[in-house]
Parts: sequence; structure tokens; C-alpha cells
Amino acid sequence: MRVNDQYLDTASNKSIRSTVQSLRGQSAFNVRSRAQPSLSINLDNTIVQTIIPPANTLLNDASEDYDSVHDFPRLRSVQSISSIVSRRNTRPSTTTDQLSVNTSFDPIIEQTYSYDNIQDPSTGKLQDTAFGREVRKNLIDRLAQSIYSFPTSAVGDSHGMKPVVSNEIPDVFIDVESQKSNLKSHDKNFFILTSAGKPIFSMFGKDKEIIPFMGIINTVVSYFQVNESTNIRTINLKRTKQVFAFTVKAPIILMAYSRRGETTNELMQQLDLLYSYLISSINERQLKRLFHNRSNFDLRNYLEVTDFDNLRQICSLLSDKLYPDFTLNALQCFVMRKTERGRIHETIHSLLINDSKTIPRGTLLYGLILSHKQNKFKLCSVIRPKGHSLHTIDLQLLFCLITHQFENRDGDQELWLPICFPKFNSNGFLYSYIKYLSRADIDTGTEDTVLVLISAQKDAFYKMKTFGSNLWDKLQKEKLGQYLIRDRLKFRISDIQAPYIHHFIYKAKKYVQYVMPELEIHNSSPQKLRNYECKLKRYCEHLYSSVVDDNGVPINKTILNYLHWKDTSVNDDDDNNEQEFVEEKIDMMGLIWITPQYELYLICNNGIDNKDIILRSAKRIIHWCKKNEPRLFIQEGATF
Amino acid sequence: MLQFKLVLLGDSSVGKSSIVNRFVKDSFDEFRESTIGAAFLSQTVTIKDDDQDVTVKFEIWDTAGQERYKSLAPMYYRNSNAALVVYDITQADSLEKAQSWVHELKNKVDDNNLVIYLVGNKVDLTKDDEEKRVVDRDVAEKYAQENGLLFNEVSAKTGEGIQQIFQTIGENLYEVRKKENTTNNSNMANRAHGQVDIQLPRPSTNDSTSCCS
Repeated sequence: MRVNDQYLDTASNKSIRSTVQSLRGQSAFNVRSRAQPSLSINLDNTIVQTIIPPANTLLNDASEDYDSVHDFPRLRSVQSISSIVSRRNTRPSTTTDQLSVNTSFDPIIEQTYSYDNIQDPSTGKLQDTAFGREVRKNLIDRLAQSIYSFPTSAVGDSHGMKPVVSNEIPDVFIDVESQKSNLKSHDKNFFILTSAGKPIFSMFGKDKEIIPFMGIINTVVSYFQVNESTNIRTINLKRTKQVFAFTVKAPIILMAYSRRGETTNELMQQLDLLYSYLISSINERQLKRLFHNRSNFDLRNYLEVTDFDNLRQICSLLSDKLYPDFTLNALQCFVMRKTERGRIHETIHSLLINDSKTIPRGTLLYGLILSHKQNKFKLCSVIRPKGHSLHTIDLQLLFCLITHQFENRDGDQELWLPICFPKFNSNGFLYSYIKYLSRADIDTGTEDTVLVLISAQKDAFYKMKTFGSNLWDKLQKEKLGQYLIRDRLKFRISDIQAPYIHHFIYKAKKYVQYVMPELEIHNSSPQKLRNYECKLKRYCEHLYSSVVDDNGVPINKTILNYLHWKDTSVNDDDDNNEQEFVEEKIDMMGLIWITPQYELYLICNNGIDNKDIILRSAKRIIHWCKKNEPRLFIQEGATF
Repeated sequence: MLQFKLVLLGDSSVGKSSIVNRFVKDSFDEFRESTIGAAFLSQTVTIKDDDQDVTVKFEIWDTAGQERYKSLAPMYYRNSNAALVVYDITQADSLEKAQSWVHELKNKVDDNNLVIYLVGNKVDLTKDDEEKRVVDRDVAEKYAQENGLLFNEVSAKTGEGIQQIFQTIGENLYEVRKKENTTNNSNMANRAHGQVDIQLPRPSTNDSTSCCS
């Protein structure tokens, strides 16, 4: 597998070609038998299959202009079938008249679609069969063009059936070494130690295994300090593609190891995050004091189980999870209508002004309403002083603490947490009042919603408590609370008219916020989910590192770059016809687009290699994000 | 309804949060995250007074046991009506820590009616294996008697004795309040403002000394 053509369209229209070697991976198979249209099969024997009747006007849409695509009335519901799972025993009948598929993977669209009852939106009447067939064909074409993975699948086989491969994408980042199970097998690791060489934390490896490494790291760092009177930054082994990045912040040394092709800058950022976590728990001043007279102090005695859990969690988010909050240094926002968000912020603002008795000026520094789901926080609302905002890293550290503190506590508790925000003031503590406004409940459709109020005064708890309950009462009274506790407007990639796109991340630089569609996964077992997220993450990382230099500076102000991961091994189709299973060829395309206003990361479905179509879809996504900006991002918040 | 403030103090991982969880939710988790800062929650108990049911509401501060949060403790025990000082009967130094908390409470809390309850947690561990016990019941009990504390050994895991603690504290505080009320009735005017909350304004800076200094 190699990335065999990589285009780089910068503002100056330069084009660079590069070749990247990578290991060959596999995640999905194409199943072909003579009588059946091809199926795509998951490794756990879940058949992923959709059967689409033939169509002639396959790529017509691609040449249509933007608006006409938008006019298409039923696209939204039809496109939500873009990833359909049906078990073998419920395989839909392949008669062209009825396509009924049981979508069993997600409660949101858990229903049976039948195309027999499609109503023409212009008349609102049930159409006769002939017309219905026309509409149906049209719909199916659109469906096909939005989801098919392979050009051949779109054409259909000799039976006139167009098989549609799932929206599953292959993994091109499989690391042979990582199949083994020892310390060296991990393609990424983090070490934290004291300047005296005492271990504090490592992502992988038991004490016995890591202590020799700690010694080596310490020696290397000291060597540069003594002989060059400087701090070592990075060791780069070009041949094995191994990178060691160091951060020395006496009395703490941090080192990251990676052979994933990350840039030094990315690793440094990750180390900074780990260091920031330590500081959020023990501030810099305390840390210095602890080590002042005892340079061989063992910090592990001072940290708590929770601290190690949190460090482990951060490492896992950094290396295996699709968690753009860290990599993009941005936060995700809870989707809400513009007017709803506006009214919520108005209400909070007026309460802050009028309720100065319970909460004297200066008591509240910062406030947040967050939506919490699957260890992921989305911003619903921000209360902040004019002209001030907290650094995203500070907030992310706060999110980490909240996750673990509420893990086995029930929601009625209110917490009062001292936390140091290292990017705000690394020598002092702030105090956070934390309360759950609602808990996740499938029956009532509510989410976990958290209120956070931050103060500099350590005895402000009761003031915060009163203000918090006043605030929630008022929001409830104004019937605004419901907007916060129900996630009604979440969207999927299929809700945007951007064909062939598997996933995207769009960051609005102005708001330091990003948006991405909900992940659509056929099999949500934790391991599958983890692999899937890791895969998406690696694609995005690869895209990112293709356009920045080692210091993390984009090579141009405006960059548009396509990456193509392609299977170059010769694969003779004729031979494979005899086999039951044929691997889906790797033919992945991605796009990264950086401008001063936004960053867009795009991952296409497997088999899409038409740059024009991808670019058109990218433009549609950007258009969509811009149009929905007030919904997708918090623009101002409640300022005081 | 009567309201009382109660604070839990003690060394880290002696089971303060587990005791609260058993009392409030009647459940137990083997693995709990250690508390950072403090958690605030409330629960009611019903006590009998001459065949009359009285509801007592506890506002509970479940504090972090770790040394580095020690400087926050005064905020939680100030104005408290009761304190639960917890130690782990399988950890000798946790009793010493408990004693130092008792000492601090006696010195710093200016309320003669403060109810202090010394609790030895984790008796379930000694059920199968008496050797795990490090702190003798007699030693702790003697210490409690000498210092005028209530005392019991409990298990948050099995729930043994947990409800009883809060029941007893509730009854004690109720008696105290009843006595107060009778004396108050004679000189109401003096006690109009039973508790005066004096709050000195603090500078709203990012106070570096306010935690763990």
C-alpha cells in the first residue's frame, strides 16, 4: 500500500507529488458469488448489504449545480439509509419493487423503509406506480451516489443489480509490530519522570520494564543540559520513522515516543497537555516547593489514583480516540437553534445583572453549561466576562476531572473542586462548582447536562449553589431548559448533501470550535468502536502532517491538499472470481483544506478518486457549515 | 423540618464516600474514584419523639482525605453541627489521622454542642480473617470515651451500622435543639439571630495560597 499521488494545491498552484510507503491493511471484504450481487462483510460476520436497482443517470448529480441538489426534497431521509446493516437472515428480497431494509444499528433510524409509499412532495398525493418508480429510481440513484464505495458497484453487475458496499473504510495504518505484546510493540508511548529519574507515569509498561528507560531518558536530558547547556527537543530516526520528543520542565521531564509519523510539534503539544494536567492537580508553585529540598521526592506518593486514571484517559484520547478537541485545540459545541441559544444567553445575562445579591460582582469568573455523552463534552453555553475567555486546554482538563469525579456518583451531588488552570495562572487555584442539571435517560430522551461555575474564592460554594439553582429555575420557567437537555439537532454525514464523503471535521478558527457529524458505526462493540475511531484519527493525523512542517507551521496560509492511499499490489480480478471472499481494494482519498478562517478535514468513502467530485463535496460542506454557523458554534455567549 | 450540617473527615481511602453512598443511595462500589475537593449532598432521616415522627435533613460535606486538600477543610467543618471522623480498622495510621482531626475540631470549632462521631470502617474485612484488623476496638473506644465522642465500627460494604450512625447523630442533635428551644423561649430576644454568618470579603484574585499551602 502506498500513497501514490499526493497533490498539493496551494494558493500559488504549486503541485508536489510525493510517495509514501505504508503497510497494507484490511478491514472489510467484498463478497462475490455468481448469482448474488456483491456484499460487503464485516469481520464479525455481520453482513452489510444494500441492494440497489439499476440506474442510468448515475453521476448526473455530480454535474448539477449546488442549488438543484438542495431542492431535492426527500434526500434527507433517504440518505440516512446510507449505512444499513442487515443480518443474513433478514436479507432483503431483491425484487426491484420493494426495498425494505431493517436498520438495526441505531435507534434513531430504527424503522423499516419501504419505497412503495413515497409521496411526491409537490402534490402531497400518493403517486401511481409508474411515477412512483420514476421517483424511486431517482432516489436510489442519489442514494447510490452518496454511498457507493466502488466505481464498479455503481455500474452494477450483469443482473442489473447495483451492489452498494457499506460505508466502511479500510485501515491503512496496521502496524505489524503492534501485534506482538511487549513494551516495544506499542507504536506510541508517554513517559513522565522527575529530574532525579524517578518514574511518575508511563502509558504502557510495568515499573520493572520502564525503570531502565527512565534512567536512559534522564541521562540523555542531563547530557544536553550539562554539555550543551540546552534542553533536548527531539530525536528523529528517519529510517525506522521513530520520533522521541522531550519536554523538560524542572522538576518534571516528559517524553513521547511515536512511530506513527506524527510531527515533533504534535508530540510536543501532547506532552504539554500531560504536563498541564499535572499542574492542574498540583500547581507549579507547590511542585517547586515539593522538590525544593528533596530533589529525589517520589511524586507518585503525592498523586492519587484519580490522577493516574486521568493521565491514562488523556493518553488514550491522544492516541486511540477520535478526539479532535486535543489535536485541533478546539471544542465541540452542542447544536442548538440560533434563537434558542440567544434566549438562553439573554436569560443568564439578565439573572447575573439582577441577582447581584446572591452573587456579588467578581464572585463568578466563568460559567459553562455542558452536554456530556460518552466521555465527550459539548459546549451548550458560556458565561464569561467581556473580552476574556479560558484556554481550551484549561477547559479540557476540567472536562477530564468531571468525567471521573461523576463516574460512580449519582447526579444529586454537587461538587466543589479546586483546580489550577495552567494557561490562566499556573501558580494558583480556582474553584469549580459542578452540578448535573439532568441525567441521561433514554425514556425521556434527556442527556447528561452539567453546570459549571468557576470562582476564585474558595468559600463561594453556597453563593454558587444558590445562583446555580436560581439559574436553572429561571431557564426552566422560560421553557429553555428543554433545549439544553435534549440533543435534537445532532446530524449525520448523510444529512449534508455532500456525496462520497465518509467523515469530516470542520474547525472555525474564529470561535476555536469544531464540528463533525455523529459517528455511524455498524457494530458498536467497544473494541470495534475503538478501532474505528483510531482509524479515523489516523487518517486525519496523516492529512494534517502532510501540510505542516516539523514545527507545526502550515507550509502556506491557504492550503488544499489531497491524499490518496492506494493498494498497489496487483490484484487479478479474474482469479478472485472463484473465491468466496475478495478483499475490498484500498483506494482511499482524503482532503485537507486550511485557510485563515477554517480548517477542513475530509475522508472519502473507499473507491472515490475523482478530485472534482471531492472538491465539490468539500465546498458544499463548507457552505453548509457557514450557513449553519449560529447553530453549530457559540459565537458570543453570555458576557458580563 | 430540622436541618443539620454534617461533615466527613478522615485519611484518604478510609471509605468516607462509600459511607455516604451507603447512607444516601444504599449502594456500594468496590472501586471508587478518590474525591477531589468535596462533594455536597443531602439526605433525610426520621426520628421518633414521643410517638411523633420528626424528619431531620442532613446536609453532608463529603471531603477529600488527601493531605493536599487539608487547607480547604475549615470551610467545610465551620458551622457544622456534626462531624463523622472516619478511620480504617486495617490501617493503624488512619486512626492517628482521625485523632488529629478530632483535635483540630475541638480547637477550631467554637460550638460546644458539636457532635463528633468516631467511625471505624471496613469491619467486613475482618469477618473472615481477624488478622487483618490492626486497630483494636477497645483502643478506639477508650479514646472515644475519654474525649466524649460517639463511637462505632461499621462496614460501608455490607451496610452494617451505617444507618445507625446517622440515626444516632440525628437523635442527639434533635435533643440538643429541643433543649436550646426551651431555653430560647425564655430569652428569645437574645437568640434572635441564632447563628451569625460573618463573611469577610476576600480579594477576588487567583489566590495561590488558598489550597494545599
